[in-house]
Order: sequence, then structure tokens, then C-alpha cells
Amino acid sequence: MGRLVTGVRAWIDERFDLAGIKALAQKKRVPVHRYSYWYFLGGMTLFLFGLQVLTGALLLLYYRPGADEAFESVQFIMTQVQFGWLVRSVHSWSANLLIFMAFAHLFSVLFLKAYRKPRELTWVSGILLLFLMLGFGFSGYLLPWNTLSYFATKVGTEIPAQIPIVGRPILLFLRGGEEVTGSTLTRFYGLHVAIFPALATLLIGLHLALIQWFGMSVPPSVEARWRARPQEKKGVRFFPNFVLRELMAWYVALGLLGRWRHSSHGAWASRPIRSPRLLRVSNPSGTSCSCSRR
Amino acid sequence: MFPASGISDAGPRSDSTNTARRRFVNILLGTGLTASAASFVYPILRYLIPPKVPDLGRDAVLAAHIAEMEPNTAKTFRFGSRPGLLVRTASGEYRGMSATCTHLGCTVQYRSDLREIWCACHNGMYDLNGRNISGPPPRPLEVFEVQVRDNDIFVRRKPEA
Repeated sequence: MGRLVTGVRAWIDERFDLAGIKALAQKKRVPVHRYSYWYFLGGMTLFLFGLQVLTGALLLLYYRPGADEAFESVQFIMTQVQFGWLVRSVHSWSANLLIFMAFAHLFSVLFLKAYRKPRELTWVSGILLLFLMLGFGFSGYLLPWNTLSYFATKVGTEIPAQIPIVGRPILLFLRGGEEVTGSTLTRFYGLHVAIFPALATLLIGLHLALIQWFGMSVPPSVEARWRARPQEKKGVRFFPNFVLRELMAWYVALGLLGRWRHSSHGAWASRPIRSPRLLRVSNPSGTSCSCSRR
Repeated sequence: MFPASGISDAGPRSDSTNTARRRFVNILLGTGLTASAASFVYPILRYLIPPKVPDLGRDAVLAAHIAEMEPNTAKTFRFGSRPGLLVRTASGEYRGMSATCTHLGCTVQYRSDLREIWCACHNGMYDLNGRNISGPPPRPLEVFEVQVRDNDIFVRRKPEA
């Protein structure tokens, strides 16, 4: 076993500069000061995003977009597929936690002034990512095709329609027609599983490359003190010291997810069962459908 | 928080003690990570197994109406999640069987010219009792029970022998 690992490592090392990569990983350091804990939040957001990609890919195996099938397929995942309830619940709850973490990350960067020169572009790419995450949330919310998601999308697409001149075209583009129908569902599905993930891959790549390029930002107060007394300057290696600590934080996040699922599973599961048939909206005439009946 | 070096406070302990402690901590970390990885992978593997579609069992399926079955014709019908074949022989008898070829799973059809059942994929032949008579099919087709009630022809699986 050990020989196999050594052999594989040697094979790769002959072709790529493994030692160089290793040296790079060891070179990266994370500054240590009283605000160091805030450095966890970005990694935490990234971890939750990874969790979303994994659970989202799994949901794709059973989810079927379409006005006639979406709701049933989600019910199928929740009741028939082994651990389907878990995969879907983790996807749903970690999406919420992801938005929370993204905002916490944003505020930590804001208050520690990490956005200042030369890191403006890192900040901008982060803001774009935040909007993209909100887009994921908005598009994903419709996919279960239950009453709540239907009305949330109806209202949510009505809001940009109030913008003068461009509002109506935006509404038509988002809904794929006058009303929220199966066309809206397939549109949001396409955005949610193809277009947004592609954009996210690009933006996250850029965001991480910029962080790698500039290194970790040190808050101004700490920077000033370190300039006055350089012997106080401290740091740890990114790998393994920081990564292992971050890993601990990830476990805490997973624990939170488990906790949430258990405390609110009942209400959450019953929600789509309330009135699924009302959502069979195949009413292209634009008149209000039976959806308002409760 | 964040001690600059993990073992800087080790003090005057000998190197071998440190190595032993390090090994112990590494084993703890490794088993912890392995156990949690297993707890993540297990539900995912179970999730990947598709749930069983409820089987027909002994339920009867309406295969055809009398009116649509001329002698020496056949009809393909849905039998659960698979196709079934209902044949009316030239002498007027009904025969019901699975339409899934036992070779590679194509759907077989009735050849009124040969009065046999034929699989178009690899030229497999079955007789009207579902027996494989030529070509690659390794086993006979599953034969079903046919019941005529009024104008409807029902087909169901034969009881287990």
C-alpha cells in the first residue's frame, strides 16, 4: 500500500512539479491576531457552496422539471428515495446557511477593512458572487413547485416589473410568458442548474485566485501595531494548521444543519402537501387562475 | 488561540514521547475523518439506489377488447413497467406473454406470415407457447394467464409454480 502511494507520487512528480506545489501550499501563511477567527467565514461559505453542488447533483438524479412532474418528483425524493429527505433537507437548509455566511463574510470584510487597496477587485467579485447566490436562492425556490414557491415567484417576478420601461420585458423574460407557468419553471431550472453554476465556477475561481495573489488582509489597527513592533508579527501555515481549524468549523456547520433539520422537519414536510393540485397552472390566458383559492 | 507552533509548549519531554503523542493524535484525527467520511458516503450510496417501482404481482391488466383482436393478429400492451404481447392465433385462441426478448431485452412482435413470434433485433424466434425455437434467445418468454370477461381480455402473471 505504502509502496503504491510512493509509486503514484513519483509518477506524478516526474511529470508535474509536485514538490513545487507542496512548497507553495506550505508557503501560504495566515496572519494570527485577535481578529483571526473572521478568516473562517469565507472558507465556510465555500464549504457550504460545495455542499450545495454535491446535494444539488444528487437531487438531479430524481428531480423532474415540468409543471406536471416537479411536485411529484420532489415528493418522490422525500418519501421513496432512501435518504432522499436528507439530501433535499441538507440542500434546502445549507442554502439558507450559505446566504447567512456570505453576509457574515461580507460584514467581516467590511468592518476589518479588507476591501482596501489593492484588494478592490476581490471585494467586487465577492459582491457579484453574493448576488449570484441570491439568484440561486430565488431560482431554486420555485423548483419544488408548491404553493409557497409559486406565490414567492409570482411576487418576486412582479417586483422588477415595476421598473419603468425595462420592467415588463424583464418580467416576460423571467416568467417565459405573462404568467408564472411551467415555462417559468423550466427557465428557472436552467438558470439554477446550468447558467448560475457556470458563472459561479468562474467567479469563485477568480475570487480565490485574487485571494491567493494578494494573501490575507491584516486589519489596519493590527498592521500599524506590527509595523511598530515587528517582533509581534505572527502567523500559521495555511496547510495544515489553518485548514484543520477550518475543518472543525465545517463540522460545526454540519452539526447546525442536522439540528435544524430535526427541529423543523414536520412543518417543512407538510408544507407542499397542503394544496398541490392548485398549482397545476396551465392557464395561458392571463386571467387569474384558481391558485388564489385556499 | 492559534499557537504559532503546535509543539512549542512541549517542554523538556523526550523526542520519543513527542513522536508517540503525535502518532496518537494522528490516529484520532484519521479515524475521526474516516468515520465521518463513511457517514457521508453511506447515505449517498443508498440514495443512488433507485427505489423499487411497485410490481404488478398477480394483478390483472386489461390487454385488449375482443373487437380489436382478429384471428392471426397480436397486440402489444403495457404490463406493469414492461411490454406484454397478446396473440390471437389463427384458430382463435388467445395467448399472452411477456414481450421482452430473453436475449437482450428488445420488444418482440407477432409475425402473421410465419405465425411465430419474432425479435427484430437479432432474428430470434419463439413459437406461440413462448418457447425459443431459433436464433440467440436463451430462454422462453414468460407466459401469462389470459382471461376473457365479457368484451375485455385480461392478462395476469401465472401463479408461482
